[in-house]
Amino acid sequence: MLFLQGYLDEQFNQLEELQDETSPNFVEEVVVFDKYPQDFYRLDSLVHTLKGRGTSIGAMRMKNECSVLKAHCNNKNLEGCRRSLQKMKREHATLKQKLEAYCQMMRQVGPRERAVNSRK
Amino acid sequence: MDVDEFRAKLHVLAVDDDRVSLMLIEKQLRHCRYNVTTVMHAETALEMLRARRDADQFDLVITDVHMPGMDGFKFLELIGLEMDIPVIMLSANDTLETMMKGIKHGALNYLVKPVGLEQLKNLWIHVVAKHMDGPSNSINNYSDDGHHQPRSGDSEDENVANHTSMSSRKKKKEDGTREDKEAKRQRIQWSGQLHRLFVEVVHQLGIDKAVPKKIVEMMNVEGLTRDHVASHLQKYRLFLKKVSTGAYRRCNPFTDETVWSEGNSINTHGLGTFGHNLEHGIYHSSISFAGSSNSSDRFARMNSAAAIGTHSMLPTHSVQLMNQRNLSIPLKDMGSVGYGTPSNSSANIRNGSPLLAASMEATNYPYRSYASLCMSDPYPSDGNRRRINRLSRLAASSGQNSEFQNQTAALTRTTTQMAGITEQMAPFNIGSNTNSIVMTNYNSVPGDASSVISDLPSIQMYRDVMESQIVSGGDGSGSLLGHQAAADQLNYNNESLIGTSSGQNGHSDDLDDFFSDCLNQDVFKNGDAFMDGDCEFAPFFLTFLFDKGN
Repeated sequence: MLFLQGYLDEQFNQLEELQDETSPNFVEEVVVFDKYPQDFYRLDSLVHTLKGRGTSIGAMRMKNECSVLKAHCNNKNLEGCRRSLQKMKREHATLKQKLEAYCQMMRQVGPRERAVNSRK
Repeated sequence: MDVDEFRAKLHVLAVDDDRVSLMLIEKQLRHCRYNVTTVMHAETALEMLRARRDADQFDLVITDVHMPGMDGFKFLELIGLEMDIPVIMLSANDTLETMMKGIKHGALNYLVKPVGLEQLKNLWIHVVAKHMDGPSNSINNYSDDGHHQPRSGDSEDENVANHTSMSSRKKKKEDGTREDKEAKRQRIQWSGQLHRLFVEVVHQLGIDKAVPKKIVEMMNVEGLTRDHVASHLQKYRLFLKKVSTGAYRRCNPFTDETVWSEGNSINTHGLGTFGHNLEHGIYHSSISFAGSSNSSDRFARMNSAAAIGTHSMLPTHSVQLMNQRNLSIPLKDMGSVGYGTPSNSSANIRNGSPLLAASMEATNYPYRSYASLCMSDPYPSDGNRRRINRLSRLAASSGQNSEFQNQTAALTRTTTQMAGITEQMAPFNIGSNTNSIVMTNYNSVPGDASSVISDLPSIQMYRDVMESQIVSGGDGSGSLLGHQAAADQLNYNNESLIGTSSGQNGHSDDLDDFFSDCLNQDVFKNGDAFMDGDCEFAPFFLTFLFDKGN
């Protein structure tokens, strides 16, 4: 979460926005997948985006799961994709929780101390 | 000034289709003190870049690779073609192929997500480095940001110190024409007009005698220094070398490999331009695509259609644009270069095809080599190879003009889509109306060499295609026969004009001398692949297209 702390110190609002963004995208992904189970390409695209976001905020596990999912997509492994997607959902939920907690903490701490906290 | 302050002067354009990622990169860049503008679509970004071409241009572009609509690579190519701004690619994708592809398309760097602040903090280096690729090219952009006085103690501006006062003085003289304005800037932008002048002068002097000093004198352009010309000349030579030897190495077994034409003055004079037209006129030749009936016209049309086929493929692949400058030749300006009054198509063919031939070494697989030449990739990817083959088959085998045109037009549209110039291409290859207009122009406007030029490559190409088809027992349908007579006639014309197959070294033709001179030059620039240099001239093509639309 280094990156997060590094530049989101003073901008936890954006962070919240971030997590809001990731959720809809994720949902969309699942929907897409169910509707067009064969549309691996599209899924791959979405996963790629998610992966990018995940890595950027330091969500390693999420990113790893995305990679796995992508691999499944490449192999057109429907079952594999589904399983991966489930895992991703879980990772995502966890991540979201953690982010929320983090944001809360930030808000509580207040602007000045925020900077101090992040440097810990 | 410290690094932070320097970064504060830089204006970065960030492009990413994903709002979240875009936001992230924006935050990061802002944290590093850059001025950031964000855009979600490459098309929008391009518009913005184009709008600022003359003033207040961005210093750096950071773009995501994976984008719907225009993807990062295409975007990269276009930027390189139209405006010479450093581009950094960004992606979660860390595979070797993608990264290589990015660099080959001209990215100065490829960052893998997650991107660290440290990496972003040093991106300014690319901006500075980009502007230092010529002996006298200096960083005038930074001086524009308010430091008009030379500051000798300033490490970043050191290179600029000498030129700042000069460039600021020059900048103050607002001149009407873009070319003059460009010429006055320290960082010379080789507009089409300027380049054409350059080529004319070079050929007047004779390639082997063309020294930068003389060229500068003869060109007589304010603000153009010997150094500008020197670096441009170097690139030009690289380009010609590439044209003459380039991807033709794995050429075909055909006998008629010669294309050194006789007719020194016209040829040498026209060659340079033509060579450029060749590369650049690729698109352009698609123009002469007439729809009417008489045989020579029809033939020319077929040729152009064939030409379109080839030409349209060219932009797609990675034109290596690393050291691109803005090279645009307004088509109409090509007019009077070395051509007499083209009164009829055959006359033009005679004048033209040697030129074309000369510059292309008339291989019998012009499409393949031509395309790969311009693709700056001696090993076109399978996709491209298939495309090349398909187009050449298509070009040669179509029996009906309209059918052919439609097919090729469709093909053109498809393939050129990749270069993002579909909208410009479209008018050129649709239907007979446009074409006949072009043909009319061609015939009735002597000075309008643009049409001439467009016909020439196509004719030669067509001939070559014909030959290849014939020999390879090609994919040509029976319709091929219909054209053979015409082709033969053309062959005859060409051959009678083409000198003996004289290889490439030290022969009587000026042209040969020229090429051998090129070959002997060791003109690799900053260790880049050979291809890089030449393809700097490739963009002339695209702009032919853009400008022709006027």
